[in-house]
Amino acid sequence: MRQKIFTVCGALLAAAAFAVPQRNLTLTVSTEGPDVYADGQPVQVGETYLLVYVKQGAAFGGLYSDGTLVDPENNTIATRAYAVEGAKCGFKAIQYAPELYAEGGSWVVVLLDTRKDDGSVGGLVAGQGVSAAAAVAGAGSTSLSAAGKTASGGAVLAAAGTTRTPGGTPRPEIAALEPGEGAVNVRIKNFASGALYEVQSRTSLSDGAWQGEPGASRVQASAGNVVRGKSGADELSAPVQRQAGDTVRFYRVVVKGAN
Amino acid sequence: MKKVMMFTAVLVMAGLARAQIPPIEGGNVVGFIPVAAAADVNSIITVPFEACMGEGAGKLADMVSTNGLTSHASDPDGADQLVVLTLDGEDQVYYYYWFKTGDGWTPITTAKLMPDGSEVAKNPPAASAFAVSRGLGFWIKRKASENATVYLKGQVTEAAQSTAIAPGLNLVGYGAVEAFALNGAGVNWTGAYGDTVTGNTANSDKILVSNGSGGYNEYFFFKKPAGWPSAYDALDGKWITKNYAVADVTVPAGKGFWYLRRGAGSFNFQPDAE
Repeated sequence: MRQKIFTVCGALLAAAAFAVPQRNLTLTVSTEGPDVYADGQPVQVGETYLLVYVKQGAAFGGLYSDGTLVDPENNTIATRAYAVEGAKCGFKAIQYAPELYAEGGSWVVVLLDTRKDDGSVGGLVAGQGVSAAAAVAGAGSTSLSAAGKTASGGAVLAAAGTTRTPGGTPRPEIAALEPGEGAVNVRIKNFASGALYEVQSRTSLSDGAWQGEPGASRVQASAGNVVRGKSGADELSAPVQRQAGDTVRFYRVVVKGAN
Repeated sequence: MKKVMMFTAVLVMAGLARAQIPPIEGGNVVGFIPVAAAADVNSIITVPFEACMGEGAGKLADMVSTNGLTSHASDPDGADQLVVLTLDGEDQVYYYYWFKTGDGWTPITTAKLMPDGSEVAKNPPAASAFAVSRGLGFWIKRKASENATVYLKGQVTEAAQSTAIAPGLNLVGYGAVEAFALNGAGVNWTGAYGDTVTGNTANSDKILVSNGSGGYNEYFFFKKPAGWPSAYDALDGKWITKNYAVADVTVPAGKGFWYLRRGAGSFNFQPDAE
């Protein structure tokens, strides 16, 4: 018994004697800017950037419109950063234990387009742009790593890619149409909280094409626009402007994003 | 006439007496040295001084001069930065500082990424409170600039340097105010480890000295194993290249380096020891 205690104490002392501080690895995230949305507009202050870890041999698989990863097996959102003045990703320094993100993988910075119909950011993800990949350092790294450069070596990161619609999103249906003074309220049932909807209209079913309604191209559920319908089910309220001189107009709703 | 001669004699004597009074010397010697730190390159520097005058003596804010460096009013990414590897409890962590216009070296909160996906904010102390010991190595990240010189300043120390080298990678330097030869007679490497069983450089302590363009030159500590030919005598106790040649390298004053400790346990790097 005594010998065992000595042995344990000896092992503890040896462990303490050779205790080595664990060196974190560091990485900084930033972009040169000015970064842009798909429509060419500069990225707004407060817009979101993701730092995504991509496992070795894999690629960044993109995002769903609710901001979740399409390929969570091989992609991990490590952290978020936000746009600052100059339409660029604000500088962010991170550190982490080496075993957290294996060497051989890569880092990408993903610019999101989270603009809502009112123009503010913070909504669902309508678009994305991905930086060039930067190698993930190993435990023995002797350099300071950085992520956020563009593939071309240029300055601009563009959120020109579309996001995907979350799986299981039902086919939406217009439950009610409420014409009012200068506006029409389109109420949508069978909606999902993580999906983006666009209200489209046309004045003739035999001529012309469906056009997106201004101000209703990124309809998304929030506390202020979900109402109880006649059937008892929740409905998504999407007011659109009634155009002057309109006598006939048809509406439909589509789910934005690729499948 | 006699009075005039006597008065003159008194003045001469007084002058002689004054000449013999020794001056009162100041209690310290201070200075600055330039260090090459190219734009758009991360360089490792080390401060050869121990303290500086006035408030914040011996602190980061005082020892790395901002003279000629790039500042920014609001964007850390647009300014020169210092990155210090230091201990936070049992972890070695990186502290970032940026040259903020009007404020000098300003700490940047870093995010420590945790295994559960959460983040813990790490707030470095103010640069005026961050003690810089002689022999500590740290990074300077330069933005694009025509000025490729950084000035280190402080008080010349009389004390010998003693820097702990732990197993693994250490960011250190020799706090000398003049350039030194890695294998020069003036630098004591007692405690450095060379593999005396196989003589293999892959098992020996290694130093990585920046080559000025983002890469490193590597040198290995060599201890001649028993039974090796006498041709290796000249390498014994020296830093060598991977090709087993004595490293002929001079490290500029103020330049730091990585020390990869492969020997068992820690040792104190005491370059000034006799």
